[in-house]
Amino acid sequence: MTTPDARRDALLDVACAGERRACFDLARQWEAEGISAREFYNDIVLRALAELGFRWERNELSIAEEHIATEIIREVVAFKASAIRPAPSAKGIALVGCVPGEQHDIAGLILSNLLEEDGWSTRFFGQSVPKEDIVALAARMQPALACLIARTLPRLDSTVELAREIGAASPRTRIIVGGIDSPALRSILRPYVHGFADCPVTAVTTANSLAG
Amino acid sequence: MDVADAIPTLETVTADDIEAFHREREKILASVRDRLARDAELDFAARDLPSARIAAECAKIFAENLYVSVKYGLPGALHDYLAWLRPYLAAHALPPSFIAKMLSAFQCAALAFVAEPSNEIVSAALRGLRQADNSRTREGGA
Repeated sequence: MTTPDARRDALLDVACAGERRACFDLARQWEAEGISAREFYNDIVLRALAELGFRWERNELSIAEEHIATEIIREVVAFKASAIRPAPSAKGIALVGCVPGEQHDIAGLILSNLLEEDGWSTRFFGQSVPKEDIVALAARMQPALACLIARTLPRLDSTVELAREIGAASPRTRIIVGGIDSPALRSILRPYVHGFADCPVTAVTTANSLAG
Repeated sequence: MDVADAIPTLETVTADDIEAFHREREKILASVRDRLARDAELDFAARDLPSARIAAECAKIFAENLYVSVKYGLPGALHDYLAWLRPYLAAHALPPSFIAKMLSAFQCAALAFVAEPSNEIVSAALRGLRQADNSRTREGGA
């Protein structure tokens, strides 16, 4: 039996070799084997991305090599999106993306897939969108949910500002922050957000409990 | 001072200090970069583009971390960043002397900032950097 670790390593091997088609083949194969979304995203994709980051930190991959592998994995996640069969229930609009300055947006793409599969209508804005534009979008759309991704300490400031301004522009929007696991940072954000998520899979659970 | 040492409390930092730091942080950052660039031992970094880029990028991220750490009173978070930085720099084949000086420059800036929060905060940070620099120069010459 193939373990999640073995699958993660297989994905890493082909992604680091720059073999995009082989990555799609793996995703197709795992789909056919019926692996769960939790295993695919949490145990394979997110752990492969984390490992790429470690390899870059240890200088085992150059920035260019790390980006090539990361972009291939991003395409695998987008490839998975093409096979989504959304749940029939309409849970409302979910705005998903990175706070200004944050670049780690693949978790947001994964979350968009999962939310869509669960019956949410998602709008994934990715990264590098100015705060004013995100707030204006929220004011116009009045989404039921806003999922903001912030991975690093320097993004704390922009997360606080963005959450506060979305809250003012769209008071009914439930705001979830993902990527920040430090209790100290969460306590700073708590007055402005309604929930935190440790990973995209738990973000869906949190979203549903807030919407319920 | 070693990286493992705790950064002092940030409780005495006021909103005015934070605003002053926000306005002046480019100057603090420039002073760190300048200090590294002027160090004769570190000439290689100026000639070696990847090393220079890593040093400049780390200095920029350090300044961002310092600002947020001070604003929200999170000395532990800043400490975590500095603790992460050492193995990262070592993995990128930067010489131990370079790493020690870079971390020392960062820590001096952080310590000077949190030790003397006042309207003169930026000059205090720069003073701390200069004092540390002079002291190391004397030690090096002895």
